[in-house]
Amino acid sequence: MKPDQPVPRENSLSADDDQQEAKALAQLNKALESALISRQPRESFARELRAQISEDRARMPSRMRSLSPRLQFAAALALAAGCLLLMLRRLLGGNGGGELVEDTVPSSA
Amino acid sequence: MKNPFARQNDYSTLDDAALVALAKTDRDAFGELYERYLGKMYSYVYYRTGNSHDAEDLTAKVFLRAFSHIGKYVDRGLPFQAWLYRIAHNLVANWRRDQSRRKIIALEDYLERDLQTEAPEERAERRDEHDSLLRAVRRLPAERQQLLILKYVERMPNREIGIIMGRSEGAIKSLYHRTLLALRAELSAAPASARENRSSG
Repeated sequence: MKPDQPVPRENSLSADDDQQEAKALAQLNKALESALISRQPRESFARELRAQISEDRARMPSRMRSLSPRLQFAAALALAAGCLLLMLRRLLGGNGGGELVEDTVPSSA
Repeated sequence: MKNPFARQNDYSTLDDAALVALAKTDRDAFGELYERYLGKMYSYVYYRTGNSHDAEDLTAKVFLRAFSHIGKYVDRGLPFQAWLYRIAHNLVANWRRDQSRRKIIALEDYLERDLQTEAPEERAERRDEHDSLLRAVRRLPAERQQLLILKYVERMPNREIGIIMGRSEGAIKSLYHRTLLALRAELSAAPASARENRSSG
């Protein structure tokens, strides 16, 4: 090929291809914009799911967690006091269990 | 006397990080997060599954899973929605595995509702175009589908998409370009059959 020959045909074709590709991608972009739009679930579904999540409040651990720190502390204190009372009762039961039984079960005499 | 549970009015003013911290011990705070992201998660799952029935089922699973694991959530500086999208992504992956042998239902409900104002022929034509486009989108790899949903449905900038998908902004830009090329190839691979279907129908 002589140096003064016109611009090779391949280059001009490639530029055309690029332009066509850019046009095609722009069209695709437009199509995607109109096809992919935000979707919302049915209201009844959203309500039911919200209720399902809220229902977990009924469970004891969740309920405890939803209390304020002060109430949580009070609940923990009450639980500890209850456990202590049970332990004391067991200890006392070793020394004077008979007396307790006599108190709760009346004798036939 | 002040009701200790009547705090939910304040939630709308809190940012996600504050809400997540509260949601670990407070269900109403999680409720606010649910309200904020229900639509986003539903849209994401809807376009990944292609039908509203499975979209609802999986959306419920996303929030129930998030709800049960919120106590273990560790803030690593990523937005909360990135965590939700990851849960949704994993659930959809499991769903696809289970459904691999089942034919995916067309998006009739979506198309019916959105094309009501057009003439019947135009509506049918647009329905075909949308249907084939969305089918082609669903044939793309999962991460490319996610990119398109975040970009077009959620209108997120590349930087934000990168944060959610764990990639750099440049990587997202490059992936987006490759995705468009792949999508165009997908569409040009099957237009003849679509045209045949339309003319015979």
